[in-house]
Amino acid sequence: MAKKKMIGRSWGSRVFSGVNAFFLILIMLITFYPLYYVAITSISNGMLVMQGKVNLYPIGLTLDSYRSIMSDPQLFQSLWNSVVYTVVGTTINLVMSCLCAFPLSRRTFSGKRFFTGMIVFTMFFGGGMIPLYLVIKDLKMMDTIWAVVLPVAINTYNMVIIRTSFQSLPESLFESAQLDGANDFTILFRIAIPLSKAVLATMVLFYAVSHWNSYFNAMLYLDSKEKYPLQIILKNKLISGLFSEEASQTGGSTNFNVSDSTLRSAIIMFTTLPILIVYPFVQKYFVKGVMIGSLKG
Amino acid sequence: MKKKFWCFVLACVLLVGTLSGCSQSADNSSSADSSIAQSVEESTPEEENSQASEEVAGAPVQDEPVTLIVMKEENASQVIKTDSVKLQYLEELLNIHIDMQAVPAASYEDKKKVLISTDQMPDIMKISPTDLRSYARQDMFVNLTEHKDMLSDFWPIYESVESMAASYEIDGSLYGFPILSRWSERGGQLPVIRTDLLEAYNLEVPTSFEELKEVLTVFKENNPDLVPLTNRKGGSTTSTQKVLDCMAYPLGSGSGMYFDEDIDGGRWVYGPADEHFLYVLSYLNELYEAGLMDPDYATMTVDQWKEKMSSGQALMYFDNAGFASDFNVALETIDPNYHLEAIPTLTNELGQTRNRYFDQHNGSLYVIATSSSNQTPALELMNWAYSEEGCDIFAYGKPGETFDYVDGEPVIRDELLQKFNSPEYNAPYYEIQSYLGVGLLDFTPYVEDHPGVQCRNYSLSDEERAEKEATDEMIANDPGMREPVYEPSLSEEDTERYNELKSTVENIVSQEWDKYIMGLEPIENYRAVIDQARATGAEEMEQIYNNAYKAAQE
Amino acid sequence: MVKAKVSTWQAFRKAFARDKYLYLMFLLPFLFYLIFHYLPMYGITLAFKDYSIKQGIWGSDWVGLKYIERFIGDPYFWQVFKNTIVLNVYNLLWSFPVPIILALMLNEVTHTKFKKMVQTISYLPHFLSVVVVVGMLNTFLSSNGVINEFLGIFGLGPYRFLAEPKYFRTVYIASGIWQSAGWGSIIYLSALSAVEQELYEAAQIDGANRWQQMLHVTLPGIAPTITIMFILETGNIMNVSFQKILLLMTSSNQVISDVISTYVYRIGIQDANFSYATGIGLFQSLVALIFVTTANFISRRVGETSLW
Repeated sequence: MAKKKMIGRSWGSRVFSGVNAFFLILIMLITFYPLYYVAITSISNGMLVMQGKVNLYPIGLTLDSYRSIMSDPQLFQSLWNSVVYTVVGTTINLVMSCLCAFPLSRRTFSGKRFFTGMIVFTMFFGGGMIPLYLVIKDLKMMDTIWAVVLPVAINTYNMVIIRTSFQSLPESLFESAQLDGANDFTILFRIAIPLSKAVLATMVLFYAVSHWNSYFNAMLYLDSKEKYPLQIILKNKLISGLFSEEASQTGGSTNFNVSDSTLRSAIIMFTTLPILIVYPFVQKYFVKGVMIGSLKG
Repeated sequence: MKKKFWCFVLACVLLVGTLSGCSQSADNSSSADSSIAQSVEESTPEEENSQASEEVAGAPVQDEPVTLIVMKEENASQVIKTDSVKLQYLEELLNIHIDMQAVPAASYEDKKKVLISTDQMPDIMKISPTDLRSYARQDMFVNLTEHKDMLSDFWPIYESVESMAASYEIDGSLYGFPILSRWSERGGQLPVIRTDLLEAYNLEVPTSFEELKEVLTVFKENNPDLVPLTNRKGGSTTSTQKVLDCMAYPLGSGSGMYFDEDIDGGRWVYGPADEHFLYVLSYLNELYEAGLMDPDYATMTVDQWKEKMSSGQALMYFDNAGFASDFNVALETIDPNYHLEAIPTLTNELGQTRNRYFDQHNGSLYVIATSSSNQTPALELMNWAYSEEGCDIFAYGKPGETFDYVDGEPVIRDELLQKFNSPEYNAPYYEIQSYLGVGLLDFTPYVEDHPGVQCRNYSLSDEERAEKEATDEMIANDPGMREPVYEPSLSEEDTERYNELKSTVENIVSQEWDKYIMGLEPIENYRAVIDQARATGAEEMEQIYNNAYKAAQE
Repeated sequence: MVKAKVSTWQAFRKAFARDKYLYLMFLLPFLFYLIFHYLPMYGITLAFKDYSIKQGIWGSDWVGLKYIERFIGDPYFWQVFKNTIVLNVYNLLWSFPVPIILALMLNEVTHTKFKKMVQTISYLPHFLSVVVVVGMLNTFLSSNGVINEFLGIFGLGPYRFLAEPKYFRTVYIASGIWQSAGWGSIIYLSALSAVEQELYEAAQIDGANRWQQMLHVTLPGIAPTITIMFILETGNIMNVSFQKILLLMTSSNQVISDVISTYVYRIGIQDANFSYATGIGLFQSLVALIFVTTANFISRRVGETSLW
């Protein structure tokens, strides 16, 4: 630091940028290769992958792994289900989290500490699977979308982050709005939410990804196969490589264009792609904010 | 800027609205579809019912239509179809609609436990023997011994399986239908070795572990970069545990609680806390230090194992012999001479020649829930599945459509085999069984391996088939191969005490093994571990097992 | 006494009148926590009961501290307890700062496209399942894997990274950082976007260089987020990536790698004992609660931010 002061400002700034960029490129490389590897193995010949020959580029190009996933008659139904659960779930999450975070962020809200304590307590203590299952059954939510989205309507962790963001807004804004006759709902929707776009966009991403990837509640509370989300179907394929002892006891020979590892890669690509496609739309909300900061700086 | 954001929110809301609307309408249409399908199906059975029941003797035809919910796990290799040939035919024949709830195998354990623990079981459910021991005393499953008179087909078959009753009956009663086998191929965890290399280096097939070591040494000398013996991780156990599960018994001890016929005329022994275990550790240590065992043996995964075996990087494994045929397909693409084959049981340092078959019977169970309102039809259906006629249908599908009787033996139709062996099917063996709804991986209480074998043999050349049959024969007639011994059934207190001791003792011994195999500690020091394990509970565990076993024998 | 009560009551009524919309707003979330979190909480009593399915949780017999005593008296339990805490403390020390540093580094990048690219790529590993990550670790760290071959050039190794207990924590934590640092930085990036521009301008006028701006403007700007995240993380002190540990655990590194959740898993598999598992779960919750409360207390004393 002392060194930097001594060197001229623009020069120091350039070195700073250079070193920074160097490390970021390094990070990019080590985080990129594994997914690249997954991508190339998903379109390579299964046997060649199994023999460890595919490392830098795909060999024996084939889409058989994807075909094998697609051959599941349940696939498109479950894909649709996943989209529905994600969109409905995320919307509920966002509304509920804001409704919860806003009162707790207000300094004047009496009972704030009590309620926060009550909520934080649930992060550590829970009744476990059995009573929750019975509650959901008694609410007649079994085998419906509500059993999948409602029990996770608020993620306390995310809610606290939203609350922190609301808290950082200047209280004077709210006060002047109140003087203008705005009630708390108006303040929330007209002032607090628009000013916290970056954080809320992040939360959309966090919630949506967690819905997209979740399978446990669906597995537990849904009985009909036609309501299963994508992840249940794919997870079975994904880890079956480790549990197929029973199947291989009699040893049925299979087509080696597809192997455990290529199938696994194809599944990862298949589940990750939708997120990669949606991501840029969300990213722009918080990158824009950051961008303005750095451009001026 | 603001406007844009609100547009985005509005779009989201609209999207949700339309989506939920769509999903509802989708639901409606699908339910409409299924109701049409139902009415179609309902009209057919009535016409054919009388005729069908005449055809199949002893079939428990219901007067009123009955729906039974059957839940089992679904293995990713074989999709369980809710409208398989078998299920459709059963409905037509018996007036019983089987509502299959196939839970992905990866999640089955959780779902099963929650459904049992909340008393929300389906009518019929697949469970493991461990579950049987944990929950049967809680009055969750229908007591079959009380309905023995209704189970005239099942009971004699069940009783004919030696010592199964002593293991499965809890306080004298049976609470589930064990999955049994009418006929199954014999298999086991065997030494599987590159026989082409034996020929290439002019070596005899090893008959003892000593000779095996010599053979592997020659392999290593000629191929310094390859791994002579490799292994894999187990489904839920560590790699070291898996090595021991496969090799400890042939080497003269056992990897956990096991029945040793060669000690005191046969008794239960906790292997890792028994002095014979030193033979196992010292043999593995010799292999490891000579570079004959995989240097990564302790961390091998299934994927790495497959990779090494199918690329020729490793030359032998000691595990499920059934995998050899898959590896051979891969190896042949590298060099047509490469060939893996199982060899007969090896003699160990104690002069014993011994190994075990896989259990001929799967051993998991189908239980009927005490909370089910259809217990009688469920009992009738399950019993019938063990009859000759029932077994044929559960294992082959619909008579006259998917299989015929040739000389009184059921045989899958050729056109079906032909259809599924075309290139558009990736794994014919599983896909044909999925279509029919048969096999161990579908709802089949009394299993018959012939259809699977028939399907597999269909794609093999005569030469390959002859070779496969020779191997099967070798395994089936190997004098060193012994039948598995069922664990004795323990009383409630003994179960609890045993489980408590087991987790303590396991934690003591399992951390030690690798030190000795890798040579970080001299083998003799393991005696101290044995003493500690025996003092902490291994002794008592053996007592519990042996007492229960003796009591059941009498 | 009575007077005091009346005045609190009045104060409460006054507050209620003022905050009626806030209460209305809070109604739905309150119901959510009540129904899905507090209603099932009677299940905790299982830790002190022998669960009988047909009698239900209420009807089961009390057994007092039977299950609590069972694990407290088991020396192996304390070994896995120690493993859990040590692993997580190291994990917190190493993994927590990385996403913040990454976010700060990204914040200094002026080239928008480059920045977007780094950001997008760095979060990719988050989507790989544990099975795949561990599979890769096995490949890269095996005795003839890339890492050992690289070290071999310098005459080092081969190291048994996965088999020897002393490397376990490093492997677990480093791979965790690799997988989640990018994703974790998202939250800080969004916090960074809320830092006001005027502050940077003022700092520039004062002649602060970029490093100084980062220290005196950026960091204080996201300090509340960092604090809250840290407190939340301390609450995870008893949680581990269960599946990852299970896949990485070998009998040779078990002495370090076995943690409470894998221990409970093995017991659960053996005798399906919900009471025992609930007992240990309760204990874990208590420990985590103590950690969070302490972290929150310190943070409230030292700084201004706190969770509650």
